[in-house]
Amino acid sequence: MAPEKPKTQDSPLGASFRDPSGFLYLSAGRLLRQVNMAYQENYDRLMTSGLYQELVNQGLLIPHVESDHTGMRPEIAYKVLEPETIRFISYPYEWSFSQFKDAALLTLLIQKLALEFGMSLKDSSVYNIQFHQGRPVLVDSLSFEINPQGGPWVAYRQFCQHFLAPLSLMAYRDIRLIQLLKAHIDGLPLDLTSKLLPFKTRLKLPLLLHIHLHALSQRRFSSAVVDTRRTMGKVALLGLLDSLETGVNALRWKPGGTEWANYYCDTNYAPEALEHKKSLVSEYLDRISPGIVWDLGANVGVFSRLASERGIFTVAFDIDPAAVERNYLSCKRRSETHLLPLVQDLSNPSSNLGWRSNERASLIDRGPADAIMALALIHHLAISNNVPLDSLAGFFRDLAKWMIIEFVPKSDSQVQRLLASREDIFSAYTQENFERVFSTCFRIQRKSAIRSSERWLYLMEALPLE
Amino acid sequence: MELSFHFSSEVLRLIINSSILAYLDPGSGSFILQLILASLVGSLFLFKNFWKKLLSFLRGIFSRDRSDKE
Repeated sequence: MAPEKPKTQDSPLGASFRDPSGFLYLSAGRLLRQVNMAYQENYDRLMTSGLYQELVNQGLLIPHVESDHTGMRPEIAYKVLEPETIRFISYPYEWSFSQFKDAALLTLLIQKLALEFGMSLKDSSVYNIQFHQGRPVLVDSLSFEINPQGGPWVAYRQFCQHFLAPLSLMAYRDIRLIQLLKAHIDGLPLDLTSKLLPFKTRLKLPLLLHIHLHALSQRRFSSAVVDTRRTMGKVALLGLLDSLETGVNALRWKPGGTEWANYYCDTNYAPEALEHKKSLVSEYLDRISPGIVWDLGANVGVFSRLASERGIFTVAFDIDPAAVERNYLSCKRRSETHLLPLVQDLSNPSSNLGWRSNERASLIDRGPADAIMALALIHHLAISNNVPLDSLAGFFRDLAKWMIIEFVPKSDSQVQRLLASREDIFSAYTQENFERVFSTCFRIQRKSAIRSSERWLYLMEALPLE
Repeated sequence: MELSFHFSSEVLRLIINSSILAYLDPGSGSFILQLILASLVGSLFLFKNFWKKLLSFLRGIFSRDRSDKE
């Protein structure tokens, strides 16, 4: 008799511990959601009222199937759900302005629909929204509760902290303030937001009510006792949602002439070089046929689309929020389903955050991808950020099995531009040394000179870790 | 500005004092604010809907007039 295989250990997801309604866990590589008995009535209402079907039909909620798995904690399990897979989990501090705004409007739309079916969102966490097939969707199907009478909306504070506060700061103060979400994992405190926003936002009714007066009310009544049985009618609740929606809709951000948003208009690439580089990248992609590609330093996604248009799911990272905004708006306009643009500073990639440093995963922990593309990138990391080549090679090996990488020599005008304002202490930055150092982590499978330029393109395969 | 905020705070206090009965967590301020705003946002919502309907009604009349003339 063959020895019995050890039973696969189920493990709960680090971010899924707050809600008594249920939790997410991994079982033999499948992501499952246990619905606890405590949530039975609400879950049944979601499924039988027609709300679930309506949300799924409109592409607003991630679809799921009921699984026959017994649950990770069967003693309190009511059902086990298997949701459709999200290819890459992203976080709001990695989104562009319009991605964030679309996520906020989605949440309000879902809440309005839920009210029509006698239910309401009991939480409105921004982390419950993910981008799936090019569009934002709600991924937490346990966010609803039966609510026949109207308000107050229990998730109102969370909506203001998670959506309205960061969006208004980005629109009225500075786009980079989205990074405050890394420090304030449960959304931005409203008193802080109120302090940081310019005076003119007090003249905008939705921001006056939902940020400034809200902050004041929180301070004034922080330890107040209140009759929680008091309600507000449905019209008042719809009015509240309408006011929030008006406030979100009015927020705008127009990217100025930022560093890289005009890169393809303002570069030393000859048209022939650009075309040749595209054909080489395409050839390499066809050779390795990856399932998931991360394009590092993707700008507005010109090369990312060589992968995504082949049906390869591609995450297009860039440090510049303006480039990511333009990329996302293009995705929306063209209804692209295989491309996800995100903001990422590779010199300080997203790290593990939250309770036990385990609620939000680092960039590396969300990998590896099948392949990464690092086109016109390494001179920025090696020269602008002083990262030694061996450290770069090690970092890239952590991210994927395959790599398409462009080497930009010192004589290139873009590198000369970087060196113009600093001392050239980069004697190791040569093509020969690049190949030697990267060969310690990768096997060079192909290399080609890009026509009408001094640049080279490489296809490399990661060596197995010893 | 401080003065107007102080004034608003006092107004909130006067409005809400009558309803204070049971303990609620730090979300109290958000809960209370919604009750205070209920009439305002509800009326604005009704007015907005009425205005939209009025505009579409008038647009309907004018477009009918124009097509009659044509």
